[in-house]
Amino acid sequence: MTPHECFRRVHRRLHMAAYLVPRVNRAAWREEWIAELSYAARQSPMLAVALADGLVRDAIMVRRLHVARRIAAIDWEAPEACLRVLTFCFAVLSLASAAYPQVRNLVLSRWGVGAFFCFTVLAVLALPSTVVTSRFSACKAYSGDAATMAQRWSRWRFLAAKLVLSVLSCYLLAVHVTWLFQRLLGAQADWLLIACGLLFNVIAVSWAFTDQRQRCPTCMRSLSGAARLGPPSWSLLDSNATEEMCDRGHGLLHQPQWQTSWFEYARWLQLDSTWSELFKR
Amino acid sequence: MLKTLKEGYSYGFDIMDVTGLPSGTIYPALRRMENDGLIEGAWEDESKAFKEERPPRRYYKVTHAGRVALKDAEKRYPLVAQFARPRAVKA
Repeated sequence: MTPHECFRRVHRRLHMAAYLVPRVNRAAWREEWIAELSYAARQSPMLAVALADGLVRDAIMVRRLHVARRIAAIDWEAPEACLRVLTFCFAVLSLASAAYPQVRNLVLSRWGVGAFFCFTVLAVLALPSTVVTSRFSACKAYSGDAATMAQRWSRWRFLAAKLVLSVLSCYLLAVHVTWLFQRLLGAQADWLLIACGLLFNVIAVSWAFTDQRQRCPTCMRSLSGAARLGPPSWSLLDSNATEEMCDRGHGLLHQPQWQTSWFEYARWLQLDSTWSELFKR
Repeated sequence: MLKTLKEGYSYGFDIMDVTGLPSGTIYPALRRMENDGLIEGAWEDESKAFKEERPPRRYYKVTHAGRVALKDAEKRYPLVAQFARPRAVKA
């Protein structure tokens, strides 16, 4: 291999590997490698080619570390993270539906529109199931909170967004499951869609309500630091509950383990600003 | 690699020379160690590099956490201590 060919090969590899590196690190990464490669090329062009073998692996490592740092930086308790995950699921299912022509035609056909209508009805019918799956009312827990109108509005908007995204994702998932078994079941596959619809909707709707109840009504962040209060054997003598708190210090949620006449529903205890010092970061 | 860096071999190509490991092992390991805070990298002074008619290089040095990790590794694997000789300083 002539020196000119060596340099061309090294340059091509460097150029291709640079695309794997995140944009923020690319310039520094390229500069470091140019320095290393030029040092090797001074000794021998073939040495530079051998050194360039590590370009792709290094670029992949830089990308991996960047992704790991970004994932570590995600605030999983924030409502935005919840909506992003749901949007991501919906986007993946939409892309999967668009990728398969049969599924795409199924979703866009008159049958698909009818199936979606049935699905929406099933989602509404699944609402009472939350009474069974999430034992205590989501709304009653927050009856004593001091949220402003804007906060209450954002709480409802968040719940609506969760419901819409999860029901739409469930619909696409049910269509995919039905499509998989359509050859096997023939016309009976419609019943499978209804069964999947009911099952997925019960799971999605009850999850949306349970998740809503586990969030601070002021900042909508997930409650954390669950603490058990009272041993279970004392259920008739004292409260036996779980207490969770908002990590920003907005309040505490008491959830009874058993529904009793004196502790029927979960209770939200709003903390005033005097507590903020304790939760300061 | 920590041992070689501690002995004064301070950039990827130099470490490759001493350890005989391929570049596909050395450079990703340097990134990981820098990410874990065991080593820290800094760009060389540009004027010095230009005087020698070469692009400035990124030098790595072992941090306090890296020295602790190296000490632990040397305790566990005594052969590591004999692995790299200190770099000869030019007069």
